[in-house]
Amino acid sequence: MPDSRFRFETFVVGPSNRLAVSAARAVAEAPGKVYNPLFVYGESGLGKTHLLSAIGLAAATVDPALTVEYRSADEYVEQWQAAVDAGDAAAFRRQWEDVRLLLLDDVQFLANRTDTQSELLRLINTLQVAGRQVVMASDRPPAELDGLDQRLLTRMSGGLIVDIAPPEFETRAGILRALEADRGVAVGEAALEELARAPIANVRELHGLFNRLLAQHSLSREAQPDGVARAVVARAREERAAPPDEFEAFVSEVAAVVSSSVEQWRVRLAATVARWAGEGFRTGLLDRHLDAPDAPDLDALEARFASTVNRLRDLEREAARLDPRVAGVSAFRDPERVDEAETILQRALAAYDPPPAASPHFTIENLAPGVRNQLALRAAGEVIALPATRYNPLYLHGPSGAGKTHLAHAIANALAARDGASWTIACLDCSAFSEDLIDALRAGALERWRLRYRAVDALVIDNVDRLAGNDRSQDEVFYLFDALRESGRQIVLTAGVPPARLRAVAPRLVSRFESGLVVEIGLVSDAEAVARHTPVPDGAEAAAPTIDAWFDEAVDDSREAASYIEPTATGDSFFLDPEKVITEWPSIDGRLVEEPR
Amino acid sequence: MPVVNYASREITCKIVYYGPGRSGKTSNLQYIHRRVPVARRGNMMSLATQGDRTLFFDFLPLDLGSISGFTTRFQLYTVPGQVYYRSTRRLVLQGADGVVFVADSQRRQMDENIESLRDLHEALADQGIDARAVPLVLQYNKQDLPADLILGTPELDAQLNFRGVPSYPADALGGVGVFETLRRVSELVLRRLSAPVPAGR
Repeated sequence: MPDSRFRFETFVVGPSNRLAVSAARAVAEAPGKVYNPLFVYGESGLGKTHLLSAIGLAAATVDPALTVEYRSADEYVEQWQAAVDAGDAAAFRRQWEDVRLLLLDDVQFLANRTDTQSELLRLINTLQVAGRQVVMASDRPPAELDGLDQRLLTRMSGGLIVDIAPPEFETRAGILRALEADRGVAVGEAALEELARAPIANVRELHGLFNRLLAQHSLSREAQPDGVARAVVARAREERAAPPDEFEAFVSEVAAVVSSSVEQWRVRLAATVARWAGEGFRTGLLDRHLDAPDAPDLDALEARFASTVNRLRDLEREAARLDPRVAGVSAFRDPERVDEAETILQRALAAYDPPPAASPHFTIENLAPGVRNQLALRAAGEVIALPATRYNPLYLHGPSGAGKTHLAHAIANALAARDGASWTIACLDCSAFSEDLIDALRAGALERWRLRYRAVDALVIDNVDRLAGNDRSQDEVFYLFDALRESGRQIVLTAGVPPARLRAVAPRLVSRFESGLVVEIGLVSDAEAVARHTPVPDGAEAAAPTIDAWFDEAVDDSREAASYIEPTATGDSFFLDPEKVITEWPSIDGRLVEEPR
Repeated sequence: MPVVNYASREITCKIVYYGPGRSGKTSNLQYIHRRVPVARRGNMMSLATQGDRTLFFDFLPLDLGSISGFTTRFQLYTVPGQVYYRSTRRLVLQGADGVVFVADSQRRQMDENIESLRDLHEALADQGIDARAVPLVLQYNKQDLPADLILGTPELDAQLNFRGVPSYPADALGGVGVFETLRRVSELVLRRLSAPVPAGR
């Protein structure tokens, strides 16, 4: 039965509950006629149970013969289970079907009670068909009740749903006045209003505060009630403001949002970045992907980065072995500076085991300028002045004794001394180059051998025609040639014949040799050797061309003519056969007999 | 955008409490400060006048610890509400990831609320920021005052919440609605972590 204390007369009505009370009164006055079922919801302590009891008591007053049953959903579940267990389900049903006003409180406790829900659904149907009234209360509206049968929810929502909100100031003040009257005490309006401002969530708390006010006031009778009320409210604020888990709840929510917002690929990449950064490596390559809108191929990216790091470690280890001063240089910690790290190692290698240098005895000054070497000398001057800019490679060819070796070494010496720069120049005969390579291969030190030559600022190889038939050396010259030229290093080569006439040399090398400047250097005549000691006025030589100059022009003309002739598929063109076309005239120095006339 | 440093695995969010003078911005921060475990809160810095009005700004750093592997820090600021601190408000607002607009629910303060909200939009526009792109939450403070003095949430929404952003009734002194507001603005800010990174960052 309803609690006799909970009547409409003791229920303080305010804006927060006016609708609910009005509906409840209407139902109490005419059960089954309006709002059937009536569903009341609101948080705990706001008066739902009070209202249900008030309906029952008021309805019973109007019609004393009315059968009223008040139960909490918990009790209903228990009783139904007990009846089922005892085999009294039928009697249970009959008992409830006789009820004319059913008041069911806390229906949220029916969640997941499938059997009981079915029984209740059946009961509500029966009662409604018979025009009996059903009133239910819950801490939330039907739409938010989980674990309830949809048909039951539909029934609950079929009448009127009203809520009871936390009491606002006026209602709180009214409740307190009612309490004051009920207790027969007088604390004064000021104290009651002060209390009504307290941050309470429900009416029960307000009752508690009122009790506290009375207790505090009884301890200090001389204190003004409103002062005591202020202290009580301040204490309540403090207590209410201190739910221990408020901040933790905030952190938990933030954590949930972060974990759902941060893309997992970024988390993984960030971990990779943190790992490599922790090992002292620059991670710019990875950082850029972190800021990118789309996910990269993480596996490939991480594998590439790890591989580059390993390469840097190898380079640093090797370089530090040769020159401990370079250990820890920043380039070895930055995967974006591998080229720089390789250069440091190459330089360390070059300094540790320098490549063969030019003979210091050969200088440009010792060379006798003449018509047969003037072009070569001029080209050499250009190379020395602007290495690797105009003539790269510089290919000098000419017969034995023409001074090719002298000029090549002289260029190397001049480059080494250029502007005081500490250039590393490799200058060696092609045979020595090949032998050095064979030694490196035998010693299993090919990589070091390559690095040593790739570290040079200029490479001078004498007699490249000795590459003939040596495929392994040709391969290395090929790769070295490309590496040096791409990185802006000067290459000077000499041979007895021009590139096109190199025998048993791979075409890819020949074409590279021809890609710079190919210049012939001829034998210097005895007369010229003598003449170099004879001052020649500037420009005299150009103004009065010698027989050699005429020869040169003729040779150039014939070469030019030959260049217009397409080689046949078989390559045995008459004009390209050096035995049939004289393009290199033998020197007639010393053989020309002047007939005195 | 909230600062997310993936390399150092840090998330830093700046949230600014904006609103008219005496609306309760500092009360919000003071309440949060009281609720945060000592180990996780920095010193709340408050430059206040003798009358307890905020002179420059309040600053409360919060260390939320490691979240999903990210060291997460929140920086809460208030602006001085008085009209004449306009330039200070703009300074504090710079780089804000989210804004809580603390309105005074008293009827007689409505003009100040509207003026301050307009000032907020002007300040954002001055910084070249589209106000619609900034996470914003409204807080209707002082809801504990007698009903005849204040406006309810629907009325305040009608007058201030033309963008339809989340709004919360609050009693910042008592703590009601304070964390709800902070939670919501934080959520809005952090949801942007997964938004595409603007070019040029």
